[in-house]
Amino acid sequence: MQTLTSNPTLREFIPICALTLGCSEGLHVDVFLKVDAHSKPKLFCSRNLNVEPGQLQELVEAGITKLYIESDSYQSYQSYLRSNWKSLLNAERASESNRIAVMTEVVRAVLSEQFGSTDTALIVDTCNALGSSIISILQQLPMLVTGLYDVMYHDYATFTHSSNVASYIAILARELGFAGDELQQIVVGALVHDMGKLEIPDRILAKPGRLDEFEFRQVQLHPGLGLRRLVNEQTQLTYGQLMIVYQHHEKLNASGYPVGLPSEEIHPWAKICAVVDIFEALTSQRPYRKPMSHATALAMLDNMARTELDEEIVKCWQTLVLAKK
Amino acid sequence: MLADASIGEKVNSDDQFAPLEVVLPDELQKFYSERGYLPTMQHEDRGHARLNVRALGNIRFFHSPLLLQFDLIAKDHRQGTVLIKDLSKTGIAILYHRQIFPGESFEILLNGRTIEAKAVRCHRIGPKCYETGGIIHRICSDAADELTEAASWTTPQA
Repeated sequence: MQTLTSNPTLREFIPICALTLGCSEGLHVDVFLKVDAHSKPKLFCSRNLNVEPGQLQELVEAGITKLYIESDSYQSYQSYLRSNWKSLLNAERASESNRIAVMTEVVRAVLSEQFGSTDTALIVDTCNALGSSIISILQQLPMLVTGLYDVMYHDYATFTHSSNVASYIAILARELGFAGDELQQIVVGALVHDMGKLEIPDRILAKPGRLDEFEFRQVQLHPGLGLRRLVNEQTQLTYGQLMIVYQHHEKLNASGYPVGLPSEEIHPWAKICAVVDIFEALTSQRPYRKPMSHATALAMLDNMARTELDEEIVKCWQTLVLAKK
Repeated sequence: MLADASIGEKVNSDDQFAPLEVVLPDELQKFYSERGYLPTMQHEDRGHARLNVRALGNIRFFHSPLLLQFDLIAKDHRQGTVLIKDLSKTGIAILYHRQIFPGESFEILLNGRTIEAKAVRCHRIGPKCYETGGIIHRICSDAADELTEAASWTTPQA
């Protein structure tokens, strides 16, 4: 009699970025390979062996970017990413898309762990290091949002959203003329922009239906909760970074929250964050709807330009999203 | 000092107050005539009834990490004059001419009474008019008047 786990057709598999393997620190989970989209996963490397660099090179040359692990091994994989994140992010890789794919997976894994921590200063320190890596990787690459989108995760988890928004803002802010220390500050601000959501109950954030008035008010508290946490813990964030956290839901026509500030009182970094924050939310899977296409999301941003969002920033983002290879 | 519609003129000629910079928007034109308890909706999740109070006070920011860290306001702006809007056993709402950030601590001085509070939310009502809600930490008072009573009640009095 077959057990559930011994039959590959009944097991659940999760795709992972192949190039996140290959660290000297072993993964210690079975890794599987699919020859094509419809084939059954076959064992590629067992848990007691390390994936060799030569094996990865062969995969890259064959155009294979995804490997698979069993769903019950996912925690071990996340733990492996966290243990090796610095070397993974700093490793030289043959192609741009490979570097972005590794970056996306690693940043998300590290944030998922950090956002569970109560040590706010440690979270900010880690985000500073992640921000440097994101800028370093994206600065060497053509600014193609679609390429980035293709390798991103698009679930509604706060750490996934924050990771994606940080990558998007690195591209947008650079295109708007920010560089050096300012660019670094903006990216780190984006990584922590939704920290206040960590204090909102999951039953509200993950609710599949429409939020009632009480629930919506709870969600609207998150910019203030984030600001208070970051200020009270005396993190070394700058004023502009804190305003990203506090003002990224403000609108130019004063219809936003938490304060309802008019355009002239909204920090420019918060205006930049607002654009990519909305775009990321619209193009990601949400508990209550499917992801929108880029065209639909850009059309919605266009409708909000001038009245709610900064027109110049929206135009710049549209140009970046529509850029072709 | 309980406030009425001419309070702005009075306070601006009174040495004990800094100039009142709050500008009441049209939607608050009945501000000075409102009396009694504010209606409370269930979704507001409040623990105590709020009493409309119209009074002026001196506000001093004594623990404001955000403002102190970034020196957002000049030293002479670290105090000013506020209009008190409502008061409950544990909370206070004030109108001020600039936004007050969540986490900022302040004290309001009026008629020998000191109310120490920390801002938890701020909403812009109009230009130079921001409503800030704060949690009261302490009231030091010898006065026996409307304000002190309001702060001691847990339910509306008949």
